[in-house]
Amino acid sequence: MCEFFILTSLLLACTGEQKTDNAQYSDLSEFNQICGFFDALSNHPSIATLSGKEKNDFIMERLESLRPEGNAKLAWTLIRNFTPNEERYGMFKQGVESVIEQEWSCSSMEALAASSVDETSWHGAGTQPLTQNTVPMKGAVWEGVSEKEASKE
Amino acid sequence: MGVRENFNIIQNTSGTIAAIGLEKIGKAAAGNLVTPAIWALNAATKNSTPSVVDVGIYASGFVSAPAAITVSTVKALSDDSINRKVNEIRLQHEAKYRQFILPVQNYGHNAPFFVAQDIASNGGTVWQGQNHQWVYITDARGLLVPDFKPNNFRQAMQPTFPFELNKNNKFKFCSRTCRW
Repeated sequence: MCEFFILTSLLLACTGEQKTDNAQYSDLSEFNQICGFFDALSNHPSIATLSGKEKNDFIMERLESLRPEGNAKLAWTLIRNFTPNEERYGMFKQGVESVIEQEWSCSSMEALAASSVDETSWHGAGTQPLTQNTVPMKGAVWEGVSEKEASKE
Repeated sequence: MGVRENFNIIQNTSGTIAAIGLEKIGKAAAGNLVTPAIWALNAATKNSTPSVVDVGIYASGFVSAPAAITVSTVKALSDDSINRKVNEIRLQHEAKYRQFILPVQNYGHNAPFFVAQDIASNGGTVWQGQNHQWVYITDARGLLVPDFKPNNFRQAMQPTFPFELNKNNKFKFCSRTCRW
């Protein structure tokens, strides 16, 4: 009986690992699809004259075909907020490799990631107040907050 | 008479409750043994034996019990590892901040590196300890802190200063070039 449980547990542990492998495979497939979007962008007939916003829109339109809950769509959506632009590709690559646990590269993304930026989406630096979910160090509270007060926030 | 009329309800309910009870306290295998006990009772009181379907359902319970145990055991081991690493990072910071340093796994279910970026773009400070665990900090009210200065990190991210927000209320964030 004991052997049966051990064997079953091992079998199920392997199944769990298989699920992880499948998730990694799905993510890798979608990371490669994003690379394909950049390949397509690099072959665009007007690539030399496209604005940063137009390049960004080109990628974002195609991003809609990816799984909303997947790591790949989230990765590119977030990296658009990263600065400096020249380090975007490196950050994206680092994120991909942390998920797939192997080396990954995309030459077209490396060439175009820094310039595929919609600068018009940003408000001017320092002109906006913080969001309601954030507080700077000088206004932060580190003690003396009851659960009741915390729930009011 | 009442007992006889409601025999099936009583046996199924009590059997299920007994099995769930045993499984709740981690004795899933014992939970499976409840059913044969009821079969024995049936054989003694009504001279009935379990059908093929009964046996099939019973066997599937035996397969699912180790699954539940395996999944919960793996999760517990993973949680323990995360908690240990977060405690290591907490000890490298002032005591008043420690309880507010949290693993990024509390914030989202995607890969930790991307959850970390998500936190930074939502206005928080996030960093990876030397033990590779990503953490973030809130104040006592649960608010993200954009200008916290973490200690002894491999990598960190936070909103750029002066703060810049886009139309979706996401912060522009930095890593190597932030003012650490």
